[in-house]
Amino acid sequence: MTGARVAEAFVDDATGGPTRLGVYGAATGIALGLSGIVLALSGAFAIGDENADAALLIVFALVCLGLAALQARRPFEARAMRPVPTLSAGVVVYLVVAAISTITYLATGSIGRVDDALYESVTGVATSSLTLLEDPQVLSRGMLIWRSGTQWIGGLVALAMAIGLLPFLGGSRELADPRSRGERRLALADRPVPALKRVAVMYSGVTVVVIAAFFVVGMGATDAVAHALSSVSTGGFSTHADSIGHFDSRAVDLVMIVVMAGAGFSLALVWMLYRGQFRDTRRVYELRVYGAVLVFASTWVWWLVDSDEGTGDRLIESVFTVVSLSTTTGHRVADWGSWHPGAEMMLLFLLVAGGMSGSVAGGLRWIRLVGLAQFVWRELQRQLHPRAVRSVKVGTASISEESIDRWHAQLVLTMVLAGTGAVALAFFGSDIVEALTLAFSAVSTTGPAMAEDGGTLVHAASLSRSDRAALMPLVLAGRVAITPALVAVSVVFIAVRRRFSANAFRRGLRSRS
Amino acid sequence: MSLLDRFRTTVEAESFDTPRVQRLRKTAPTVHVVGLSLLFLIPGLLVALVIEWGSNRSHDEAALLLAIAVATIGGLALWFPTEPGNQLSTSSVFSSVAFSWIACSLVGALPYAAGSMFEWRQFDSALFEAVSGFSATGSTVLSDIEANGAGILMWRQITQFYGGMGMVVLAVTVLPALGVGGLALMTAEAPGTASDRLAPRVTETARTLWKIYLGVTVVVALLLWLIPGPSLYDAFAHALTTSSTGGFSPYNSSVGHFDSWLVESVIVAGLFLCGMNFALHYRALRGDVRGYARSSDTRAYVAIIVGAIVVATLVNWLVGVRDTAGNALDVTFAGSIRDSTFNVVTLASSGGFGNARGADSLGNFVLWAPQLQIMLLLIMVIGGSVGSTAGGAKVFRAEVAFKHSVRAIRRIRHPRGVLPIKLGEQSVPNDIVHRVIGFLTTFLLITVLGAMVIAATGAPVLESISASISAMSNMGPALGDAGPTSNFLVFSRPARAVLTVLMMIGRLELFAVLLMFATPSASIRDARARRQRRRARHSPR
Repeated sequence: MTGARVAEAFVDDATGGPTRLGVYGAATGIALGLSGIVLALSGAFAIGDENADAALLIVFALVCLGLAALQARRPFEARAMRPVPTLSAGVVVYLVVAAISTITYLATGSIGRVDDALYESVTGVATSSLTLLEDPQVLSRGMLIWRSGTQWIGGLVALAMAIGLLPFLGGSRELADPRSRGERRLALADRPVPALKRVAVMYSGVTVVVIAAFFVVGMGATDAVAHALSSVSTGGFSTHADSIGHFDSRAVDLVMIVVMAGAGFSLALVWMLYRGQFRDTRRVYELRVYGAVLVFASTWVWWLVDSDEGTGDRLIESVFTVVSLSTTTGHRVADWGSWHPGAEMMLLFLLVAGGMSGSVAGGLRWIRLVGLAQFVWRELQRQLHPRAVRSVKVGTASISEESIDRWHAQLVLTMVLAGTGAVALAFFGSDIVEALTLAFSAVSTTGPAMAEDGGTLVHAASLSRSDRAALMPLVLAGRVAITPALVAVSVVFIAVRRRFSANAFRRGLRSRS
Repeated sequence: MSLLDRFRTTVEAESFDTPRVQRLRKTAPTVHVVGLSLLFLIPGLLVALVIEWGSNRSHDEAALLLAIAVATIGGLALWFPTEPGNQLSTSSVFSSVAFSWIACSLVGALPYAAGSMFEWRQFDSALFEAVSGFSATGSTVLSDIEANGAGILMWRQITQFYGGMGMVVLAVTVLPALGVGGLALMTAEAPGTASDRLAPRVTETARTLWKIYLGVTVVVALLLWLIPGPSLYDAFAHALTTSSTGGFSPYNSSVGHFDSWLVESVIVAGLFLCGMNFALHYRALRGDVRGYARSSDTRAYVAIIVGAIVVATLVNWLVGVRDTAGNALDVTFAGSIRDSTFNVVTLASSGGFGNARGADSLGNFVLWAPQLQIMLLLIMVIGGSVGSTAGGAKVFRAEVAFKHSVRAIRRIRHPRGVLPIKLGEQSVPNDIVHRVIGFLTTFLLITVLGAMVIAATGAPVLESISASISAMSNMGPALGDAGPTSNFLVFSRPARAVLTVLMMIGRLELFAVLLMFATPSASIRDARARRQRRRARHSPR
């Protein structure tokens, strides 16, 4: 199949005109609004700082909020929410926030070069933790909040797309509702707008609770807010070069473990708990699998890691690293890149597998892996009983064949994207292990990887500009679960092709006349 | 009435129709095929024995005689009293194939363990070498191959020849009674051939496949012999492992020993052809040469190889290569073409030969640029065509998986559309698509699991991943310290045990090994149910 035909297949050819623009306009408005709120928060934190970022951040916030308000006045047609434009619009939100962030970094002088600012912004909104800054303390307080805030926005948009929009656009309902009993009713809401509202409220509420928890265990205001923003979103940006290891506090480590693990849970599950539907949560098969994996992986890593630390510290390091990577957060308390190879392989597998469905975490998601394992079992049974009719089940729920098709496609696309990315990174100078781990880590939106000279690669300053350029599309595609990124690219491709063919047609008419 | 017939009549008599006999009858096809497969090893062992006799390097005749005795006694004991019947159950098919391979590997390891190659306490290493041979993988745990006798080394080559087309396919050639069961046996051992049935009778199809296979081997051997350099022994030794895409060589530096581009060209051509569907060769021999061009699978296979050769040649030539000490090697364009072509073809066809003239030469692909090594890993996973002797996931499956992924995205636009997956002009039925994605998912899961266990034994990440891929794809060399100029002694014994299992799973394309216990477990289940029924009958109400 030619590239053009593949691309054409992604594009909704219904004549949309203003309706389609309406979706993109709404996406831009949402991006501006969210950026405005976080910029205002950053401006508030910058007020007492010696740095002069406060005024600039507040002005930016006002401009963003003003433009968002203008956009909000434009009527939005619900019927415009068709799969292709809506998925593309989701990508537009990320791009607009990344653009605003780039301008902010440049205008405040936090980062001098456009490409560096763009990299830090894209990494931020894509909730990857592979920062460009060796020591984030060079930034002002306000900019530290903004940097973590971009991750918070990225997490919110990912959640909104995963459980607020896609289930209503023909996507896998199993990914939105962890009960996955094949019910028509979804846990969070049965219509997009209430679902989106609940996502926003719960996400914000959880963030506030986490900020309070960090205060309690002794973090300062800036640290607590910045880490809460970047942890709830599974982003992983820290305000310190040593990440969470900087605090050297067991209490901080334990709270962070709980926060990261919670971020890897499905938001719909949290909603059920909030509503007191405990019986429903017990039926969540994916939760049991995910919990078992975290326990098994922590034990495995703890057993293999040879460390000078005491048993207790080693256990906390192991659990922290397992939870951090399995939720694709990327916070760190130890140099896991120099651990035992068996522990490293386990961690790499976890970061590719990711968190639960309907969570902020990236990666493939456990429900997909469990579903695919059940599918493999079904195919094995079919070898023995070719005429038997069996459905694929996760727990007690039957999974549709369409969902299995989509999950397998996701697996293949992840492999293809990471493989291509690894070749590109290796071409630009990384060695094989660094290129492969960096590519998979980027696609799962984790960030850190295994460095060429041993140890963990924790910041992108040691990478070349070409490497960073190759990483940006990988993290963005990974953040939107690849498919919307392909849809968006094809929309642009088809639009350009139509424009060229229309021009050629006009030229042909002129030459005839 | 012969003794055999009398025995069978007695067993089938009503008076002997006890549950135990019924159970035995259920496993009889498996036992029969295993016995026959063992008997087929005898000619190969005899050839090796004769060569060992004439060799003046070592005298492991006793070890080979032991293997011949075990194969004869074991084979006869299993084959003689049993009958396959003409209706094989699906579970019997898988257990027949898997147990045949295990039995052949165990007997095949005897000459190594009983001879001077390994000691008895190193039987796991002998088994690794045997499984690597029968699965046509080509990984070795020998640090000095040339220290062994010519006969034993020829047996090593012969094991790959057996494994290339498969012992069970060989057994089917003499089992005329097998109808549908024979076809299933062949499909389980050599997937792809069944869909391209070459003759109305399964036995004829199996014979035709073996004839083509033998023909290719003889042609490659003659061509190698005509070239200055290789002796008759060398020519046949390398021809056996070229047609089977195995990769074993009686020399430490593999094909690099000859340092001859002519030898490399013949082997590359042999590997390239044997990585294609044998049914197409059969049709070509009958005059339908255009069959190659019509096959979408073959077109993709050729495109992958040609593309990879072009990329490798250009990158090696333009970017350059550094030796182990970090000094730049002198890479000419002609040298780059030669080494890139050889290594790409040997890895794409899952051959695994090496043409490195020393560890610091361009033929040692672990020195190549990292992007090329990642490309080689990808090529290893994809492998050759369906119905060939090559390993890997197969080009056909990679094509279907990619188009299936594209279709899943097209569904966003056409949620209710009928979107067939097409290869060339033909649509692939949905049940085949599901089988393919089931296979690939299993392949991936087992490879990842294997890599994790190998890494847990202490092997570095790169070696663990590449060795797991290499074993599952029946490739031979891996990356890092387990490259083409090294051996698998870099891995610990537990890691090598895992790799042994992976090689077997990869060669039998997963399902046979995963389902090999279906027949025994069904027998156990039946026995348990009978016991429960009996207890229920005798228990007071």
